[in-house]
Amino acid sequence: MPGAGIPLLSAEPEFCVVSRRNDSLGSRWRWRVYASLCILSLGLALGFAALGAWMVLPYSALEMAVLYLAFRWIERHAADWERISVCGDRVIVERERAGTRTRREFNRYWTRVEVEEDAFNHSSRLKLWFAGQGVSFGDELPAGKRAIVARDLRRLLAAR
Amino acid sequence: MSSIPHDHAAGHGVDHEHAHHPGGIMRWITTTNHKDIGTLYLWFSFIMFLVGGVMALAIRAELFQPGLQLVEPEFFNQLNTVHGLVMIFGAIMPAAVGFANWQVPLMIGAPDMAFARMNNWSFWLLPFAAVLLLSSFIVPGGAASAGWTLYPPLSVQTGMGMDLTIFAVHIMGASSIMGSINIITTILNMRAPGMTMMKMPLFVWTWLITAYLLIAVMPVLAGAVTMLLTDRHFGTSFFNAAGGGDPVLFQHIFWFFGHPEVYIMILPSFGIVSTIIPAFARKPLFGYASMVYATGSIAILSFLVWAHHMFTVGMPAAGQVFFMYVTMLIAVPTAVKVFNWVATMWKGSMTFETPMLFAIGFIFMFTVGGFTGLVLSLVPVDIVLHDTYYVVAHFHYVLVAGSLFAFFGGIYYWLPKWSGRMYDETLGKWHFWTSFVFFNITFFPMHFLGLAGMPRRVPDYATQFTDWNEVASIGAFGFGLSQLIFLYAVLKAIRSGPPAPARPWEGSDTLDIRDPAAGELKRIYLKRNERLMMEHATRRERPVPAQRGANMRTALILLSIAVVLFGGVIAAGYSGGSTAGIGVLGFAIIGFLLVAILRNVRR
Repeated sequence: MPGAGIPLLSAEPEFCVVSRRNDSLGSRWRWRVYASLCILSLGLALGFAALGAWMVLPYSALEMAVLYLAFRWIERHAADWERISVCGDRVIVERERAGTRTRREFNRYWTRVEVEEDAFNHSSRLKLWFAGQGVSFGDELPAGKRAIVARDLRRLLAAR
Repeated sequence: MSSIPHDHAAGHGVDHEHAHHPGGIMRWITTTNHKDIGTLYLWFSFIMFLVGGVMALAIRAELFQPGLQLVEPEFFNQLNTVHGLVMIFGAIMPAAVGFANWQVPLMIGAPDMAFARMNNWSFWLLPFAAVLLLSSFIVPGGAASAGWTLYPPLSVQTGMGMDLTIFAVHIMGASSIMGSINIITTILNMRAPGMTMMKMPLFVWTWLITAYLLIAVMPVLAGAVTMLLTDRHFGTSFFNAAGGGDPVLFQHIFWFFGHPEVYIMILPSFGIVSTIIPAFARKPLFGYASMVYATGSIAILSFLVWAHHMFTVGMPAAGQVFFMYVTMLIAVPTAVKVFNWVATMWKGSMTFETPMLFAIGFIFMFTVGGFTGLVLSLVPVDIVLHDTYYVVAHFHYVLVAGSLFAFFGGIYYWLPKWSGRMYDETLGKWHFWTSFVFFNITFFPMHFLGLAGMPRRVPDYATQFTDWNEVASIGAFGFGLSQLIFLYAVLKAIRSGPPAPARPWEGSDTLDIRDPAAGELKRIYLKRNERLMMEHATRRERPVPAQRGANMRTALILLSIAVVLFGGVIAAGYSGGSTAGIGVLGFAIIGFLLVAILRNVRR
């Protein structure tokens, strides 16, 4: 559900964008898929072990351990979000990563918006600069949407 | 290969600050971008394809005449073994992963693969594995010579080249497992809003199922080669009969990996063909859901047929019958796929650009390979044909004209998006036609050789096999040279091809071709089929374009080739009625395909 788990802003913002990864599978199905893979892989390995070829089993267990770590990482970051909002003279960037929430506030008049075109990685990155410090935003947004956010934000900051 | 920057709009009126990145070789070593890694996979697989191809040419040069001409028998066996390993683990599988890296995130609307750094590691393991595998030629005793199946007792007894091969297989297996974990997590967890499982492009579906297969069978291969290693050096006797082990156990374990491996190599190709055909028939894929279920059915059945590779090893009659019928059963979901590809073309507004030619070539020749597979599934026939050149012909029709042709089609199809430049259509067509003709010159006579009793994996043969071996060797060199056209076409496109339009194939409707824009994802996938149907209905009202003549000519050439191919299968049936019967059936089905083409060339 969009916006679920994200705290409300204290004041009505002039501009607000929330960026979050689309958790297309969901926690319950994620572990069901994992269980199905465990049953398949470990079941085969146990079958071979019963026939005397027990060396399949450690590889299968190792593989399932790596898959568990991968799914666990996805699970920990499934609820990650970040929000950029402009309220009065403040630009607020909040984000939650693996349950840890951070908040940065910038002076609206001294904040610069840049889009780093990364030819190396064929991608772009939206970045806010304030007093020599940069903070990126919108890595989970589609490229087109990120460009629109950058354009709107730049107009808004330049309007004052 | 560079790609089109996707974010042109962001650049206007902005102070750019370019990130600092390593240049030169370090750029490629440290990259975590899925497109770069896809490019690396594809170039690596092409290099390995050339390496394996040179080995194949050495094999064919030796077999041009009976007697020993160029290489010693031991070296011939090493070439045979490493050719198989290089082509399977170094060329076909990495190429499929390269396509997945490039296309899966774009097709599902994800920013990148789920684990970008692991993706980098997955690739960079491969060159080390390749060096290990190829360096086995220069160690005492030479490379592994037990065949790509590494059967004991040969694999237990040979020199240290086998150890290097085992390590190489381990490393390539680890790479495959990391790749498949990445693909599964990406597809399942990172799809764009609105893209439910049953709205995913078929290429994504086929790769999801392939990744499941990889996860299931790679530990089996790893376990099998580890047991070989411990039998060789640590005193165990899993497969060593001298110590009470069972060499046949290895064959069961190996083929439990090996048969799903065949589908690991072919399912991504099904996905590519299922992407190309709707684009050039300008119709949505016929029977999308049945294609998904057929792919799943093939994957499940692939676990139940391993012993059809071992009919001659000895097993109870009930076992033979079971594996025979289950193997034949795989023809059902495969036929569903072939039917759906043909039905997609039926009454479509077809054109025959290079990707479509390769896709149609794939259907023709994969069907030939499928039918010869049916022939081999029959226990009495298999006992006669086992380990003959008929088997060599069968699996090359499936893996070269199947997997490889689909990959060629995929590269021509996506190259405009990958490089931002169009390839030379004339060069592409030359590549297709020379590959198609020379491939058949190489491998079709092998059916005759096998039916006449020529065994595989021999450097010398009886003189009655000379004629067809000469033909096959000439074809092999032609096929090898044809691939230089491909290399030239790709390099020319990347360096100096004309700029590609944003949507190079107007009939394509997947996200990767459409260049996704904000807010459009949901609409595309919710309305895709309805809109395509409407567009198609409108297009049918168009007047006949001038290119109809050219398309008719193409269709007639394809028809002639089908007549020759299946006529050959029927003619080859002199050794058994089943072969002739299957040839007739194949002729009928391909005839159906051709009628579809002839009726529906663009008009």
